[in-house]
Amino acid sequence: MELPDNAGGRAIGIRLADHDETALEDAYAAYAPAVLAYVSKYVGRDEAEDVLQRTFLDAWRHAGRYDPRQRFTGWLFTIAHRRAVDTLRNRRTQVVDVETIRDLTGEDGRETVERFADAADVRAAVGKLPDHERVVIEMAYFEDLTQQEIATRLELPLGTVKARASRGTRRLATLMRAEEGGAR
Amino acid sequence: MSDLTQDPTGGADSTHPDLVALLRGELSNAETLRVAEHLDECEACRADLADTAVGHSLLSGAGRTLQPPASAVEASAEPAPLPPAPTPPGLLARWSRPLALVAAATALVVGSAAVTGVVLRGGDEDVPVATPQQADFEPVEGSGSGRVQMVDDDGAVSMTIETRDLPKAGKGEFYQVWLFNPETGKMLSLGILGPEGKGGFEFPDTLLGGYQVVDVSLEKDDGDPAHSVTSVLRATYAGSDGESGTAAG
Repeated sequence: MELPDNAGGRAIGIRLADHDETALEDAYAAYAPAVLAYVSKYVGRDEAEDVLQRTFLDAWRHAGRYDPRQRFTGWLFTIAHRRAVDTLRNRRTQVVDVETIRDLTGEDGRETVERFADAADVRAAVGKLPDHERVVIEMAYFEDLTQQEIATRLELPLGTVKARASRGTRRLATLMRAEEGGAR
Repeated sequence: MSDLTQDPTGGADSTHPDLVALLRGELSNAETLRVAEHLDECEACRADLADTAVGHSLLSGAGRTLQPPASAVEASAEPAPLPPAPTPPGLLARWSRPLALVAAATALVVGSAAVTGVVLRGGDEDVPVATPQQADFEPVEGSGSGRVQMVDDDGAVSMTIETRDLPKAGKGEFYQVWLFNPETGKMLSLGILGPEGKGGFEFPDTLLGGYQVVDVSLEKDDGDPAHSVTSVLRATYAGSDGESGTAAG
């Protein structure tokens, strides 16, 4: 899916603050997979979807507090972090693994939030690639397939897959530079 | 430059076709060395390699971070589909409240215990979300128990209820949750508990000021919307004078 031009992270945050309901949809389309991966890491798949939903509803309700000078994904994943903490806190009858607590709440927790925010920015940028490039890039980097395997699966000549991977990779770098440049 | 990559749209891309494969380690030794020889002689491809490396690095990092845990991969060959996006609570979000009511509601949403999060507080200072408050249910009839948790969240109260040891509702019966004002007898129905004795409800936080107690009743599916004679659990989340309270009753 190609996101609209104004779907960059900060632009989404500003639109959310204006209570633009389509901004919530754009935010979800761009960042929900990364948020789901993040919360699944801590609360497990069974509760992750609930934490995901609460994260985006909180983002909607508190969008007025988003500071556009701040990276949107950093703000969003801070909310996800808090919701994951709440979920673990409410597990009165279950033992929460010490390593999970340490990873979520210590110095590593902040680093993990930043790392997932980085990954979410990249994942959102991949969503802006032309479809024929996006599919190849997703299979290569998020499904860990070789170009030969992608060619077989898509029933395309290997040269076509190489071309799409090449252009998609460089276009992705350009998109990320543009997003970063727009933030300055 | 040899072996130009074909553009699927009909144009030509002058980039060496194996730069991505080079960075991803997908080439044989011989292929890798051939690309290296080409790069020695081709300045344009060296520049392309730099751009490709930036994209590759970003993608590799993201792919590694977002990789599902090994246990999930083993459990399922296909990744679970993403659940649908939440519906924006537009009315609640657009709703503006008098400041006095905000202050009153904030004062009233005080539970029986401090939040049990001492261990889990690190790094939360800048999180823009409300703190959950909670109160324990005490039995009115029978020996059930449980807990009600409320989050006052920018005008909306999210209430979560978990009960324990309630007898299973009989055929045509269910447990219903109410807000209750013991002084006036006024009651407001919030909804029905699930079969596991759990439920979640959301309502404007200005409603809280008119009530002090969360009540759970056993109801019959008889078409009568009024509270039955059977209250089974109650939790007091605020004193009748508007200050915080803890007692159930």
